[in-house]
Amino acid sequence: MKIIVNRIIVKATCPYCGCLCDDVEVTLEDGEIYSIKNACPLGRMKINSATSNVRNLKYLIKSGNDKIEVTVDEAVEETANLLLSADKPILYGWSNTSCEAQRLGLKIAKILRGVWDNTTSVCHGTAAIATAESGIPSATLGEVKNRADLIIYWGSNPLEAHPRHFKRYSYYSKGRFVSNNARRKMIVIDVRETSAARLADKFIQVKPNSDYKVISTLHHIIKFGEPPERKAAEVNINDLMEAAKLIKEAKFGVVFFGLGLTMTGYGYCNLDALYSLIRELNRFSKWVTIPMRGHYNVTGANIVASYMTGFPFAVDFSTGKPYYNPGETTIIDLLYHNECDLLMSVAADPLGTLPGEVVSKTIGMKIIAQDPFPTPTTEAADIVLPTLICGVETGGTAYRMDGVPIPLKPILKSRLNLLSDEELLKKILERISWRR
Amino acid sequence: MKAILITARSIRQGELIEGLKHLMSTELNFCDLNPEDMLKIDVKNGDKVVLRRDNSEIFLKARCNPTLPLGLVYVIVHPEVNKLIPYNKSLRGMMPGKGLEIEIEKIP
Ligand code: SF4
Repeated sequence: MKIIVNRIIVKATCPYCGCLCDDVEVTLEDGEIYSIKNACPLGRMKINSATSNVRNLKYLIKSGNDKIEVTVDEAVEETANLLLSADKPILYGWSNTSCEAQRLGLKIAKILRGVWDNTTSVCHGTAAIATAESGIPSATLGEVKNRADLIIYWGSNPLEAHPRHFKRYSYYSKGRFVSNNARRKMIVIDVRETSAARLADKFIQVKPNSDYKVISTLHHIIKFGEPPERKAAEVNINDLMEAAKLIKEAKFGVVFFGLGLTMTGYGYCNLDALYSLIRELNRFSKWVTIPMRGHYNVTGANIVASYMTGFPFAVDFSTGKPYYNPGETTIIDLLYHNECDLLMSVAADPLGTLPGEVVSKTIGMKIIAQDPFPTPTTEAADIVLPTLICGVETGGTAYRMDGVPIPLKPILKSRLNLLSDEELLKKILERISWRR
Repeated sequence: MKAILITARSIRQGELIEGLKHLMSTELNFCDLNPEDMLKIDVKNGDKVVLRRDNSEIFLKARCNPTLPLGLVYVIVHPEVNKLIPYNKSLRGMMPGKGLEIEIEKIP
């Protein structure tokens, strides 16, 4: 019979998606996870992964065709060697770790005159560009929860990617002024009928890559009360007319947009068009828009980079000053054009997530991979730096998808004798600064 | 047959991201098609198909999805699928992960 000596309940923040649910409760029995309350399957998986056997456990350095185990100090020394001997290293990832680690990464990139980029390049980069150009009319999720009576999801299926978004912040949440979903309406706009579309009051199906035209047509209908003469064939105009009616009746509306809008068609022009539509809608009532950010701290990566360099991602320090030009300085541009000679990945998996044409350019390149889990990138790496899982085994700060900072608390003490991202990067920074 | 590729996430894919990526190629090795498109390329549920773009190709199993519009192929995003994604200068260094024109055909 197992005798439980110590049972405690830890209040935690889920470090998985941009919702950063901070109402999670984990019951620990003698330091082991017994139950997890208020987390979705993704959050539960992330918290349970602390006890998984599929982890990076050893500091490894490539030697011939093998990797040999080394001490943390040897791994840090070799990392510093590779970074210092590179002409133009790129430090990439940063969305699955704390703001504290992101800050250290930016300092290292600056000293090395390298490039610092985050996973925004493979998700909401187009929105970041549009935001820099025109500003984003936005709000917090708390305001949405308390006030929104019309919720639009455009190119996003929260039921698969942000499973608690409906319940905590939008359609099914109980707000102060809008107490239940009988008083809220939801429109889903997508190229296919998603699980979220099936729950919507109105589903509008659009043709792939046509979002820009659809937004412009909707803008025209809202402004002039009728569709433009040359109608967009990519959508049913009656559907748009009905949506426009619901939009004009709303007191507080929000458009949550996902990769279905940021990764298609005219790229950042989609977002320019959306922001301009939202500004128009503010002539009738209160309207805001919020990106459905995927990684739990990709928003933090943009915020930290912006306050340290003036730019949200793809920051090139090679001239000594921060320089930003997506199309030239994202990881995708630089690897594709063979402009970097070293890739350091922190809390990300570029080789498993970047376009195939870009991944093929990393063959023969030096790679350093810092990650709690094995990935295609750690597999190919010359140096593997295992770490604790941020938000589960170690703490820090992260920013929710609406730009609200949330503290991450360690949930349990790790059984592994490893450092956090922050501690490891501090050692690398010290080593590099000392040698420079 | 020419088709438009749409990649998207799923809960199961999300569960495999941290530490279980090696299971993705076996668990997520299917693509959804409208039944009419399946007839057009003469495949049934579970038949193998090849998805091609330029010189890249990947092999998946066909799965019937009547809610999908004609001409669309829906694949849950995983490292294998990224082989089809190109570099696109006009997207300013971003990833054109959705709405790509591809070829799909049955593997005899
Ligand atoms: S919705 Fe996101 S943050 Fe909330 S529990 Fe699920 S994965 Fe975690």
